[in-house]
Amino acid sequence: MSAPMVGAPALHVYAFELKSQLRSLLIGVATLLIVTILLLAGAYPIYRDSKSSVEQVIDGFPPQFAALFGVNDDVFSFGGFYRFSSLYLMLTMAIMACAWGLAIFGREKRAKDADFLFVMPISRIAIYLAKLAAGLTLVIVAGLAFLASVALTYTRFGDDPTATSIALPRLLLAASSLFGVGLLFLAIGALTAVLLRRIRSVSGIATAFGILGFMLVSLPEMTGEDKYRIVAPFTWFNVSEALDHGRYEAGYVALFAVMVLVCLVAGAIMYVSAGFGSLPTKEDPRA
Amino acid sequence: MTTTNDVPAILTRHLTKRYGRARGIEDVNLNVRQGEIFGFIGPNGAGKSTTIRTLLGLIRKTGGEASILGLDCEKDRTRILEQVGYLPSEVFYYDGMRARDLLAYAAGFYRTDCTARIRELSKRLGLNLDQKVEDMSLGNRKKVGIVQGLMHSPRLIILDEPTSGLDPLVQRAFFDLIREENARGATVLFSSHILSEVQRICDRVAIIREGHIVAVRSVADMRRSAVKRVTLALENDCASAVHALESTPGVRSLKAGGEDEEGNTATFLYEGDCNALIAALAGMRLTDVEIAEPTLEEVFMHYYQSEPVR
Repeated sequence: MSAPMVGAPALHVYAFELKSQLRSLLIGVATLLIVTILLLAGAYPIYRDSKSSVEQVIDGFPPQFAALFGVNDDVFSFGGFYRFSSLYLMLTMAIMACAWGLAIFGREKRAKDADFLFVMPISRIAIYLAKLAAGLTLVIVAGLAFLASVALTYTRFGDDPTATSIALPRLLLAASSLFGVGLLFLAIGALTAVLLRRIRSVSGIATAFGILGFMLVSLPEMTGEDKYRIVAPFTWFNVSEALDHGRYEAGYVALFAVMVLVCLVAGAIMYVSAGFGSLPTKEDPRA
Repeated sequence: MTTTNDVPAILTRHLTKRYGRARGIEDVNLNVRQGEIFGFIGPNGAGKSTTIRTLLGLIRKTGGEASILGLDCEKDRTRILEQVGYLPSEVFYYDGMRARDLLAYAAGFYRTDCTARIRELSKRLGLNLDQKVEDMSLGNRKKVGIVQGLMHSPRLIILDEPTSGLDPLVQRAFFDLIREENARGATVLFSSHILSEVQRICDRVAIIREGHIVAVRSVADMRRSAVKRVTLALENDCASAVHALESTPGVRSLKAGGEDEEGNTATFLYEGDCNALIAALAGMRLTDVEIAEPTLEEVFMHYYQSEPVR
């Protein structure tokens, strides 16, 4: 038996959560890298080189249908194709991050062993923060792996003027949108785990949230009403703005920050309250 | 038993927990002295687990005060938990973990190296540390819980229905362990609905009924209490005797009408002046009478079935 760690209980919880999610992290990062490479290194050259045929196909789409999937005339340039691809990359990250939030913060509920963790000499807020730190670590590791894969893919298109016209830092800034999406959906997953009495399927709930986020993108796209972006979190990270002007819109960044804070603070308040996650006793009407 | 500190191991004053409109516990007053093995008995649903979970801060009290080793159960919860070992009535653990890994994870929260103690306790209880917890029987999971509760040599050990699922041999090893922990100086709160267990190991007992503490007695006192079990064999029909007994103060749990070769029988518990009992019996035609010490079970039922709780 390995010698137990002395002290630093929060670090202990952090390490346990990271270790527990290691397999999920590896699968998630691999999925993200495969999607990135398939889209940017695989699909983009095919689109670019078959422009006329693809245009004929796109022209046949109803505009709403094309908007739903993020398809437009711009997909034949590297930047345009990245914008199109970013929706799917955000979807992948959203599902992964939401699943991490649900799994980490709902672990004791699913195992019904809150009485195991909550009688350890560590405060509940310390447990919550340790779990949050583990979730953030997963999002950061996945995000960094994604940035590296985007940068590597970009170097393959040195002879493509639509790619070289975009400076690498701007492309990386655009790719950093996945950190934002990851953080937001991690917070949503965490709050959902705290709110739900039972978590039947982590992957099912995470996929539902991810797909919902993806679908909501089409709302401003189809209606042409910018105001609907407020309910479409993927659009809060405006990739075009990052690629073209090297920045994100301050208002939407603030909205993102407020949403993350609200989810995390609400989750923390519920998590630290006595009774949370505890098995009902025989006198408890929940029993 | 040595008591090194006058601070009670557990002290509650009017401790109350309600689940909305449903009863949990009401006005629970307990004073468990350091170094004693304190029994906490009552039927299922009486409020034993609610009291324990409130003490451990797993659920928030509705009212009253509770302290462990002089520390407030809510404000000083983390400091308290460093000194407490807890075995819940239902043991659940993370899936996919071996007992060894689970216990190592639990041990990492304490400031002491529990490795040797985990090994020793597992050996004494016959626990296979390499087995996955999810593949274990209830009894083996309970063993994991016992090791987890005792591995850090806590000052207060709280056991909630600890023997369920344990076979008699392991129960014996478990009781030996608890006695050793007590001899080391640990206080034990032993919650159970099995009176023989409490009788076997405890110094004092609190009886809880419908969320209220109805009595706190030493086990020896309970056995020596003025409550007696009286069995009468009557010559004739026992209706008139029953009528007389029903109007006699101190008579409880009266059962009549049974027949044997001696005649009709009546049994009851009696608490009060023995002269009054003899006077009541003097007017009856008896073929036999037995006045005996009640079993702890009968004592318990005596308290449990006494006047309605306010």
